[in-house]
This record gives sequence, C-alpha cells and structure tokens, in this order.
Amino acid sequence: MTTQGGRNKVLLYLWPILLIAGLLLLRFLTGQETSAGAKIYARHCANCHMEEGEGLGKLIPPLANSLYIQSHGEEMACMIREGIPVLSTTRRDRQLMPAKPELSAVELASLISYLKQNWGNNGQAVTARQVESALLDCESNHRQNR
Amino acid sequence: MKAAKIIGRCLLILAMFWSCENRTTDLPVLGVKKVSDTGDTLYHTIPSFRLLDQDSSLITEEVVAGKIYVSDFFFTYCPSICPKMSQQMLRLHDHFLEEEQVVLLSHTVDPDYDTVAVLKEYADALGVNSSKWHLLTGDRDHIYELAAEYMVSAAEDPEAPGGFIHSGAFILLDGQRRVRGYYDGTKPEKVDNLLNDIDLLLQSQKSAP
Repeated sequence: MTTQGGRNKVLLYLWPILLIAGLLLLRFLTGQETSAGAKIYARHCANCHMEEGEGLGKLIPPLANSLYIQSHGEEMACMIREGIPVLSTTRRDRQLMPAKPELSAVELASLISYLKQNWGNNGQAVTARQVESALLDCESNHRQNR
Repeated sequence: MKAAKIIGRCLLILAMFWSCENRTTDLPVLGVKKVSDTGDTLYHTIPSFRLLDQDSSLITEEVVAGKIYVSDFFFTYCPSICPKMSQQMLRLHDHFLEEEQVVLLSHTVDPDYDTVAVLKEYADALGVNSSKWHLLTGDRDHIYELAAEYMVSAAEDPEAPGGFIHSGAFILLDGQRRVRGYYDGTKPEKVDNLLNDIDLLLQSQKSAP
C-alpha cells in the first residue's frame, strides 16, 4: 500500500515536468520555434524588405532568392550596422538603408545566418566570431561589398 | 403586461434593424456635419488643393472631381511604415489600373526633400502609372493643412524615425470629396476591406442617376 501511494505521489509531481518536456519536443518537431534571426529580421528589416524578403519593386531589393545574399557572408555585418548613405550632397542626414548600430555581433550573426538559410538562399550559417572579425575591418569590406 | 413590454421591445429592436438594412450596403459619410440655413445637411468635404505630381503636372481637385479616390501621407526616405503602405497602394494601383473612376493620391510630408524629381524616381522604381497614382509635393503648409482636413496626423518630429510622423491610414473619398472610410495601409487584410468598399462605392455611384 505504502509503495503504491509513494508511486502515485511521484507521478503527481512528475506529470507537469513530463507535460513541459512533451510540449518542447512537439515544438522542436514541428519547427514552430522562431529563431533569434527571424525575430531580429521582423524587428529591424521586415518593414522595408517585407515579411518574406520579397522587397518592393525596384525600390527595395529582395533578399529572397538573392544572389547577393548567397555570395556574401559575415562581411554584410558592416553594411547592416552602418547603413547605406544616400547619394545626395545636400542631405547627408538621409540614408538609403538606415544604420543599425545597436545590433551586436551575436545578433548580426543570427540575422545573417537567417538570411542565408531562408527563402531559397541555400547558404551556410556564420558565427559571431566571424562577424566580430569582419566588423574590425569594415573599410575593406565596404570595398568588397560594392 | 410584462409580455407586452417584451414584445414591444423586440419589435423596436426589429424596427431598428429594418431601418439599418439599406445602410449596410452604404458607407457612412465621416466628419463633422453642419446644417445649412435651408435645412440641408452639409458634410465635411476636402477643400481645393494645388499640388504637383511626379510628372510635374498640376494636380487640383479637378483631377478627382466625380471620381473615387484613396489618399495617404508618406515620404520617400521613410524607414518605418511607408514601404508597407507603398506595397499596399501598389496593390490598389494594379487592381484598379483599368478602372477610370478610381484615382490614388499620395502626399509627401517632406516636400523640401521630396521634389518632383525624387518622387519621379520613386514612382518609376515602383512601376507607377502616372494617371492612376499621383505622388504629390508642393507647399509644406498646404500639405499639412490638407492632412488636417483628411483628419490624419502629419508633422515634423526630430525624434521620429526619418524625422517625420504621419498616419498610416488610407483614406477613402467619394466623388464629392467626402470621407467615406479609414483603413490601416500597413495591413493587407484592412486593404482587402478597402478594395471591397471601393467596389461598393463604384456600384452606388454607377447606379445613381
């Protein structure tokens, strides 16, 4: 009797843990978990480049099925962080693509990996360490980006 | 006695539904209404305007006279909601390209920067047909006064992304420049509603004598 009672007690305490484990497994299997890169994209990029990276006409370049994204890697961190200046001599305060100086190397690595691995861009993920070293050499990266 | 009261109330509610029946297919006229000396209702109407579009053509109220039009406020270097608004406006542009009774007017809130040349470049990049979608610039005060008449916000604000705040609304107007609806121009499902409402206005305008 007492062992049965003890087993029941264990089950009573164990079931919430089993439930959470089950839910986590389900989330993992269905791929419902939103990656960090997807969240950063939604917050900082989707307004202009749109939800599925489709861009807008010839105004805002698409990031989906993009040769540019496929052929570039961690060096894109410089462009994302510093933005793209407008080609105007009178309005230096305008930017073609706004700068995102607040993004850390880890965030930039998540974002670039997300771009390279979604919407038909079958690329490799980049690491925060690669992004960090790319950020140290933005001057030559800008030349490379062009 | 109690039963009679309940039946009476039910009849009243039914009568209310009945009286509304005709209006469910009709869009309301929005804004402050006034009553003229002769007792007629005067609806809020957008006043005359003089602006230039991307082709440097003078655009006045004459261009939209008797036509259904959608109006919004934006600026070309807007880093926040404008690209989504432009994406949705482009949907309207493509949908009503062949419908002569529908016109689109987008007003820049930064006319100092958004000159005719800048708007032209923007319109060309989107593949805009100039007779369907007019991107408008002109006197700054005139544009801001117009925004107030459309009952939406537009202001310069150094704290805002890009330096300006403006509403993301698409405003629907009828042939008499009366406001018939507001729709969130950044949300595709709200613009679906706008598409339906434009069809509704087109029908009522065509069936009117």
